[in-house]
Amino acid sequence: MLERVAVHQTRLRTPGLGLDAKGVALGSKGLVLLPSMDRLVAFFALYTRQGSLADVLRSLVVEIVKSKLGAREVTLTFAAESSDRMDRVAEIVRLAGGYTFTGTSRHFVQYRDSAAPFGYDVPQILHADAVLSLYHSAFTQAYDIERKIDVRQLLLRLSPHPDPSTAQEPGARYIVAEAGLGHALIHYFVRSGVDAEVGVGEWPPESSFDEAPVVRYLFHLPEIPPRMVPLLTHTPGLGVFLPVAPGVAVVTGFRHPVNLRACPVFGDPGLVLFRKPGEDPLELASVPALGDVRAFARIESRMQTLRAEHTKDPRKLVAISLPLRLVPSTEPWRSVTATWVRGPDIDLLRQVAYSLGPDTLRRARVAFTEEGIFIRHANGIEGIPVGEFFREIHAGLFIPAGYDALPAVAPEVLHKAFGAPANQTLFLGRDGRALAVPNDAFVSLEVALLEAQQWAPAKASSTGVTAALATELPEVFLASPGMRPMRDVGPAGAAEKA
Amino acid sequence: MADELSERFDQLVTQVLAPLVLGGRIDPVRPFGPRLGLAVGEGRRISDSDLRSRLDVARVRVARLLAPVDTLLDIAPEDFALAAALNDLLQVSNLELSGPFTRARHAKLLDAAITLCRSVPRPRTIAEALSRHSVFARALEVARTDTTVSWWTGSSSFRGQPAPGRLLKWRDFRRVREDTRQVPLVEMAAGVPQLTADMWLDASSVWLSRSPLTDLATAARRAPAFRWSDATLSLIATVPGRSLAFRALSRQRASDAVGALERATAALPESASAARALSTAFAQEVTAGFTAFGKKVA
Repeated sequence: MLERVAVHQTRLRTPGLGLDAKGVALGSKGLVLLPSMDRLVAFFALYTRQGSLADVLRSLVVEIVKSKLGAREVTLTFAAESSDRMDRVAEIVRLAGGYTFTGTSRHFVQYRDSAAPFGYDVPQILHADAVLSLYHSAFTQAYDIERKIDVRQLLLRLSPHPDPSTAQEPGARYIVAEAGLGHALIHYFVRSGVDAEVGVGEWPPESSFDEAPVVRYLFHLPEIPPRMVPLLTHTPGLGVFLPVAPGVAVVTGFRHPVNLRACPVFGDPGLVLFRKPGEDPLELASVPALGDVRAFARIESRMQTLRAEHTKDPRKLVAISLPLRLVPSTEPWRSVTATWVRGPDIDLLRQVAYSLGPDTLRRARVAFTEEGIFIRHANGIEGIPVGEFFREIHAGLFIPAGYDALPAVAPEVLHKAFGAPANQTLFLGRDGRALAVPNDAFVSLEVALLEAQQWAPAKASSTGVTAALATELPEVFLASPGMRPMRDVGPAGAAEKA
Repeated sequence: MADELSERFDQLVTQVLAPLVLGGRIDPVRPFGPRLGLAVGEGRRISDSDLRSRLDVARVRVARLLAPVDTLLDIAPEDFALAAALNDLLQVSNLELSGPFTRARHAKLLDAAITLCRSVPRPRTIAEALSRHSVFARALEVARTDTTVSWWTGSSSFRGQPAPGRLLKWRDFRRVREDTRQVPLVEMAAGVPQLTADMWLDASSVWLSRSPLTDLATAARRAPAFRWSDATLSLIATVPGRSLAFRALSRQRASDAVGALERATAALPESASAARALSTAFAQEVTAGFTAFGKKVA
């Protein structure tokens, strides 16, 4: 049986137990007794939802203890510091189904509750050689320590719970790609203009039969474009992880049972990635060196140096003295106002022409050349989704959309380098050619569709169908023709005789 | 007299010709007869410029289904005469044309309409043929709505007229039932006294033959059966005319079109060997054309 500590009581029998400034019986340590590991996890989950475990963590020791009767329970020992901290811990422990004690070394007495606002004291010390002696109003028990539990390892062993809402959370993501997918993903990000960093991580072989370490690509994206989310989350071999705390991320669609942000056991230099239930978390001792994915972009041979001789104008050979290079750009597409349609795309353009709106037909300008069809639309060429798109970087100078010219000279300078032809529109192709199309070759697409002989039937049929649909059917309504209806008819054959 | 003729001309244009081209309500006017029918469009043009413009647009739309043209010839006096003949044919089907003692009027007016059609010369040029087709291309689309109203004690039928409102009152109490039926041009003469279906179809066929492109463009029709006429034979005797004819035929079901041509060729008299050779060659050409386009001919 415990004794309640009275107001202004100055002497306590429990060793290491004193009174704090408020008069509450408090030792230097707090101890939490929990009946099982489940309750321990529940305690962590509850505690970290409300506050940080950082201040407790420094002194926190988790142990499995064993009573004389062989019952195993879990204790958490931490620096008590103040009754405020102990009060908060005690509340949560009560919820988790455990007991809170306070003491200093071996003897821990029940922490205060509503029945004893100043805490409890022991009338008589238990004489036992056990490591821990716990005094509670309901029991007195001695325990030996069986083993320690590392909090970090405990958290690593916990499987994340399904939580679809995490997939919608904005912000940065880690993506882990198996070795075979990494390269493809890099080029996918480069082509799509996604800002991303990539590194290569190595993990020890999964079994002794594997000699080489497991290599995976690690991507860090400030944000994943929504259109890519289904692909990245549903492709086998790819995993998307949401960073929940420095050095730790959980696979999207799941949430760790413990709020890891409030539980800083994972160091910043390393990285822990919690995967789906059933898969071990991936640990990296340190985050691998990450580099911009653009540095990994494949430089294709088609990106050859463009020289002015391609323009077939000797005068321009003198003007261009630096080799020009086109490199993929991650900048958002702007001023995409032209397209170059050639080869099989021309047939596609014919089909697309049926669905083009009158405004597009009227405003689009088209030039037919031996190299293909060039179409320009001042308001944007997106309405004609055929061919290779170009953006206008200077009046009369187009480069492929998604590419930048290197060296990054001003567009005016580049235009001048080509001799700044007044009546020509220059298209710098990805295949290393610079084509000049006379401005007067551009005619209205509307006119071109009509004038192009092979397209005329398509236009006429379309017009006919549309008009026919809008036309009423002729319907006869009969009425009396009036008096003497046949007075104009006369005898049959009169006209022939006439 | 001239004022009266102008008035009849305006009636013909606004009540028959314009709705025939533009669609809508056709109110046939008093029959013209051969003499007046030929004279009504002579030296006259449509005075309402807005209507003329709308007619031109609609005609070009029809013509462009066959040829890439932007303008057409004005509607010729012969075309007005053909419109007058159509008006007369429609009046033949009007039971209010005659009384109990004047039932012969229908047959008489039918004869007069056929005479008028035969008096209309065939198109002299391809452009005229195309122009005429642009006016009469929709002739076989013309329909009449017949209404039958039945109630608990009786019923009444109305030919080309809506049922009067008094017969439709108290629908539930009188158990009024109203049935409507669309009657196409080729069936309009049903129930007309002293007139057989064959007489009506013959007259329709003669009328159609005056616009050869229209005739060919509807060759696959069920009735009246397509027959070679001087106008259609003249048309296919020229290369551009043959092209137009082929395009007109190609808008129909291939097997029906070829079958109609072959039947029409077989119906030509043995003595007309030149016409027979021409029509046979054209039918073969059309068959080859359809086959080349991957259409099933047989």
